Amino acid sequence: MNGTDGNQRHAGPEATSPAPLPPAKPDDLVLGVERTGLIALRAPILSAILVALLSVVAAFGVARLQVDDSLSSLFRSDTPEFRQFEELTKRFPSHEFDVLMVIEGDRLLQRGPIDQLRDLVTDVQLIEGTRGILSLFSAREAPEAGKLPGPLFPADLPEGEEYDALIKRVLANDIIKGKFISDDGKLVLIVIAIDPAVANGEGIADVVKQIRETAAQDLEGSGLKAELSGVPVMRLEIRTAVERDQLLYNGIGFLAGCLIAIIFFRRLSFMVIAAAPPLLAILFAQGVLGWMGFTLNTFLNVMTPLIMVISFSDSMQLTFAARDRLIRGDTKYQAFRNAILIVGPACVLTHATAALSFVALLFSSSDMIRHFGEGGIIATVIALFTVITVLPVLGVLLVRKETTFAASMKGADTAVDALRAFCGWIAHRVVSRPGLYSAIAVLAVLGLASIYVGLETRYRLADQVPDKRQAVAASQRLDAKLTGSNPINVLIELPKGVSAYDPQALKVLADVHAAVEHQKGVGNVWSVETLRRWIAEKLGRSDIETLQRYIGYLPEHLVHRFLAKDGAAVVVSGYIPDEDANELLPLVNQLDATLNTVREANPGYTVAVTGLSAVAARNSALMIQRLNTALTIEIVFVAAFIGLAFRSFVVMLSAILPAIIPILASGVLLWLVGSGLQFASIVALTVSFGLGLSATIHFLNRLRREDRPGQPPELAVERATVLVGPALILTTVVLACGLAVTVFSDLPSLRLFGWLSAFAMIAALVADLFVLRPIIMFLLRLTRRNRVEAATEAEPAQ
Amino acid sequence: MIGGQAERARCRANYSGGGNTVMMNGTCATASGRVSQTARLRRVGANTYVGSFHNPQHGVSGSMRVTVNGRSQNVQLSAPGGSASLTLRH
Repeated sequence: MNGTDGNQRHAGPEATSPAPLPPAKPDDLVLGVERTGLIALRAPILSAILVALLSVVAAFGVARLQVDDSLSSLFRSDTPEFRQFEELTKRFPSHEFDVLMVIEGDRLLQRGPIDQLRDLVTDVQLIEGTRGILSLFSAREAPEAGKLPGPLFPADLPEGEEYDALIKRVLANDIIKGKFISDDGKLVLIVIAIDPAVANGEGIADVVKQIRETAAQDLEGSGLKAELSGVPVMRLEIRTAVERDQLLYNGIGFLAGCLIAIIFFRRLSFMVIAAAPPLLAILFAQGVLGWMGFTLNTFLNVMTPLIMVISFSDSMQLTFAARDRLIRGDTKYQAFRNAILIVGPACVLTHATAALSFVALLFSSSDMIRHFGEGGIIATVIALFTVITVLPVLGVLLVRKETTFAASMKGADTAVDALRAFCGWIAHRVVSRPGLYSAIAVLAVLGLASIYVGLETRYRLADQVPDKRQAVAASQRLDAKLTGSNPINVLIELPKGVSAYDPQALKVLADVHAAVEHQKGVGNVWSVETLRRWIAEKLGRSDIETLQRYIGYLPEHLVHRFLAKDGAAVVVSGYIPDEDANELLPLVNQLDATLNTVREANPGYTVAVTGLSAVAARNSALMIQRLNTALTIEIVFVAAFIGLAFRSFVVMLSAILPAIIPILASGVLLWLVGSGLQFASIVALTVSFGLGLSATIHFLNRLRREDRPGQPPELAVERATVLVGPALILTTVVLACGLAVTVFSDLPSLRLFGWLSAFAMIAALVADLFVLRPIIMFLLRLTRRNRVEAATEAEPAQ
Repeated sequence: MIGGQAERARCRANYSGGGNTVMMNGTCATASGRVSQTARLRRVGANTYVGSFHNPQHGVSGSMRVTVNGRSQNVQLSAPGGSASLTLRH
């Protein structure tokens, strides 16, 4: 690698005043794309006004961003399973709009608390936005001859022994035991059906608030505790967490960056020059996404720290380079122009590499992850042009009295000089024994890889929902006491022209219902068959007319849980616990296999196991594995891309190990904490890979300029390390802080993404300092030795 | 209620409009179910309104009389299948 720039600086800090530097020469590493940053420098004031105007437009775009809080969006894809799931939710939307109220207490079955509970069940139905309710109070007694069945709980509750007898009947009631009341009588489930228009709109927050207030009011003094769960509550909690996280990341991440910048630069103007471009990059990127109609979801929500870290990394490198030039005597125009020419190519290449990371996500079959990939590419491109354009403009407008600054910094730039000395020390050590360090790196990679390939995939619904709020806690209580909180459904589509009351259709339903009931792990099974059996047992009637008549008595919202409006489909619903998808998949497959006998006996009927639990169990492992494979392929492509950009096979080879090590190290950490490979972790690894390459690219760019013909490559490696090292270390600290702030998130998947990415960044820095330098040193010596030998052999022949 | 047995019920009524004609949306609920109805009322006295109601859920229609006394109101419903008298408080 040969190249020159105007920077004659040697490794280590300067003890005396260094000589001024000649102007940097442009190069064609990235075909001159970095020079677009110089256009704005020709008219900085006009450019600043334009940036201000664009900021206003972007702000309106940000206001248009919507939040996608759907629980199924992660699996949205064009697969038969998802299409069947969509068919189920279209025909039987009930579960999506059910708020589950879980009420617990040791005194629950006492007369006073039961009366208060009944008042609560009554009052909740009066809240606007609710459509109906199912609870233990919905149960009916066996009817007297010629009469319709009355409620299980009489209007006036009996007392004494009569009340005890009532409670015994309640606990023995087939309809409600194990479904609406736990076996020990200390937990009840109330299912509140919400109007779909309200559940999907802004009104749900108010309805949930009213339900909570009504529960607090009606249960006061009863000793009972009420918690809410169910899809509308989970969506609301996700939406609240995502909106809150947006403000949190913008605030804390930005403050962390500013603080670190001001400590090291020692001038407010440099802090603003380093910090403002990434902030504007976030604003512009989110603004464009808002104008393009993107919606924020769990993954797109991490766009803010991602853009911040990519942009801040490049911003710091540019600011450091310009600052160095100012100290060496450049005018401010010269300093920032030279910074763009020297560091700009690495900024372009870094963003291109990050964009390639997002391209890998475009091949996912999950809509949400593809959406994230599309948003990431757009945001990365915008961030690049924002940083290389805005930073030099800010530089020339904000830096004043550069000669005074240069004089004050010479010999007194303590913090930065200390970092340079540290970087020089590391570089000197690793280049003196490159073979040894390279061998250690290869062994480490082999060891880490052997553990990484054994990582298991993980998916649980509870990981996608805030875990410090009510929904997850309530679901866990249902899992513990009522066999589960996650619905699993068997959709039965009837042949054309066949009614749901057709004897064969009812037989198919009965067989499916029995199969689901007998499936281990599934509880709380409901369908029209439940009513048919109750009528047969209590009334001794099995005729279809009686069944139809009783169905006619039920509220519409209840009927359409089990019988489609068009009468062409019925569903059997059960509940399973929220466990890892790997645990649920055998259950789903077993149930599916059991239903084969029903399918074979009834061709023309479509019988499908579906529901969010089934879709997640089947698809999560496959999708995570596909993303993992895409990441592996990406490493090879990106290394080739970098080699192509630098036009060097040595560069391509040297870029591979430092790129792999952070991923493998993060994977081993996941294995150690028992986390497994989740969606959030694979996205963290995929994107952190792109971010980690920022360190590699900036070093390789500088090495290219510092490598001089006739000089040993060790000098170039040491010089390049001292030049880019301090900025790399500082930006890694900022990156880790910026990502680690997500530990404050209520969303488990986001927390995992945050700390894993922070770790991966630090691993990338370690790999950059202790692996990249010795490997490239080793390869450079090898190639140059071979070249010298080849030249020596050729000479005698001439 | 269904089955003929008495159940404790609570009701909520929302009124809209003004002057001599008032529209009402009302929901009555027991622990085991609820019914909703609409009504159109005209003012016939200082604090009295009469009109008709309709319950689409059960296909029931009938007459209605509302007498307002300060913050409470007495509501009387009459239909071919039966009658009801409620006292509501604001």
